[in-house]
Amino acid sequence: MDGDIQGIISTLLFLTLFLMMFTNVGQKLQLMFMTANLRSKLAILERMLNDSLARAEKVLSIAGSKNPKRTVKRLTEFFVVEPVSIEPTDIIRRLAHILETRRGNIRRILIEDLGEKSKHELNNIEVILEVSAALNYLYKFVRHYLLLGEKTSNLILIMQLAYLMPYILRIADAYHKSLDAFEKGIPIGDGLGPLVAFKLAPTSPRHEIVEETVYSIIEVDGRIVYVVKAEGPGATVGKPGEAIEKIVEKEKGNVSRIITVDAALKMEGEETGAIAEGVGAAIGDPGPEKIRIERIATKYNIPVDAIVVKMSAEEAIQAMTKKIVEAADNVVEYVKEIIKTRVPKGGKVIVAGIGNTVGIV
Amino acid sequence: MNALQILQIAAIIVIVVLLALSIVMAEKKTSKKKEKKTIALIKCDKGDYETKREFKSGDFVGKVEGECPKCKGVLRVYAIFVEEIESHK
Ligand SMILES: [Zn+2]
Repeated sequence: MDGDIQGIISTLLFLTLFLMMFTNVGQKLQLMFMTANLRSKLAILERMLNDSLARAEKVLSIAGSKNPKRTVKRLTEFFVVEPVSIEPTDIIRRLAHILETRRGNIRRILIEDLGEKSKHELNNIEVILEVSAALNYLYKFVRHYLLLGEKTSNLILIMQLAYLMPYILRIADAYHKSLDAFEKGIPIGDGLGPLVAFKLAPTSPRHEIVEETVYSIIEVDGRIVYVVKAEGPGATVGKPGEAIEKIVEKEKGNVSRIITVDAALKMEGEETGAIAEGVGAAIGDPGPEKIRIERIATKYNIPVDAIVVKMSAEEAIQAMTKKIVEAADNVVEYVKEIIKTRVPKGGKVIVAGIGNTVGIV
Repeated sequence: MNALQILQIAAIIVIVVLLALSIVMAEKKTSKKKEKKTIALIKCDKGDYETKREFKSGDFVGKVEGECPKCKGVLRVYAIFVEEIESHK
C-alpha cells in the first residue's frame, strides 16, 4: 500500500515536470505570475498619479482656478510633435520655435484659467503640472505594455516590463517626491548651478537680460564677472544660452572665458557631490540654449569651461541635500580659482549657473 | 524511511527556507526609514554670524531675514537643504 502511493506520487511528479518542460504550461504559469505582479505595481503607479493629480488640482484651486479638473487634464495630456530630423537644415531653429510655442500655449491656458498671476507663481504651478504629466505618461506606458502583453500572450513583452519595473518605479517615486519640493518652493538638486551663482553674487542686484534670466556683475580680484542665472525664486531654468549670447554681443566679443556650472547625472557607484571639470557648455536643455553658447563662443573664439557636480536623477529633482550645498561652496572656490588663473587682470568672464532656480533668488 | 522519502523531505525544507528568505528580504527593503528635516541656513552678509532654523513656507535662498545681532548688517538665507536625522526607533 505504502509503495503504491509513493509510486503514484513519483509518476505525477515526473508527469508535471515533463509537461512543464516540454509544453508551454510553464511559460503560461510564469506569464500569470508576472502579470499579477505587474498589476500590483501598476496599482502603486496609479496611486502616485492620482495623488499628484489631486495635489495639482488643489494648487490650482488655491490659485483661483475656475475649473481645476479641466486645466489639469488639458495640461497633463499636452504633447509636443518633434521636428523632422531627417532634414537637418534649421532643425535647431524649428525645435526652438516649437518649444517656444509650447511654453506660450501652456502659459496662456494657465492665465485663461487663473487670471494674471506673478510669473514665479505661474512657474511653480507649471512645474507641478509637468511632474503630473510625467507620472501620467509613465502610468500609461506601463498600462499599455501590460495590456498589450496580456492580449497577445507575449511573454517577452511582459518579461521586459517586469524587469524594467523596479527602474520605472524608482523614477516615478522620484517624480512623486519632487512634488513636496515644488509645492513649498524648496531648492532641488538641479538648483546647484543657480545656488553657485547666488553664492558668487549674493547681494548684487539682478538685471533681467532676457525672459526669466538675470545677470549680476561682481569683481573677483580685478576681473569683471558676469554671473548669469535663471530668475528666481520661481521654478524656471530661464534662457541662459540667449543671455550669454546677448552679454557677449554687448561686450563685442571682448570676453576672456565662459564658465558653465551645472548638475550632472552620476553613474551608479559615483559619489554624490563629486566635482568634475571639463570643457564645453554644461547644460542639459533639448539643444537650442546649448547651441547658442557653442555658436557665440566659436564666433569670438572664447574658451568654454564646464564644472559639474555629480548627483543621481532622483537627487536632481528632489529637495537639495546637504552634500550638494557643500559641493556648491567648493564649486564657488573652484570657479574663483579658474578666474584668477585663466582670466587676465581687467578681463571679463561670464559664469553661468545652469539649472532650475526654484527657491533661489 | 527510504532514500526517496528523505529526498522529498529535503526538497520541501529547501523550498520553505527559500520562500521565507525572499519574504524577509522584501520586507527589509521597505522598513528602512529615516526622518527628514528641511533646514534654512541663515548668514550675515559680512560673514560674522550664522544660524540654522527649520524651513518655513515662503522661504527662499536670498530672502532677507532682518538684522544681524552682531554687526547690524543684513541677515540672509544662504542655503536650504534636507537633512536626514537618524531616528532612535
Ligand atoms: Zn553680522
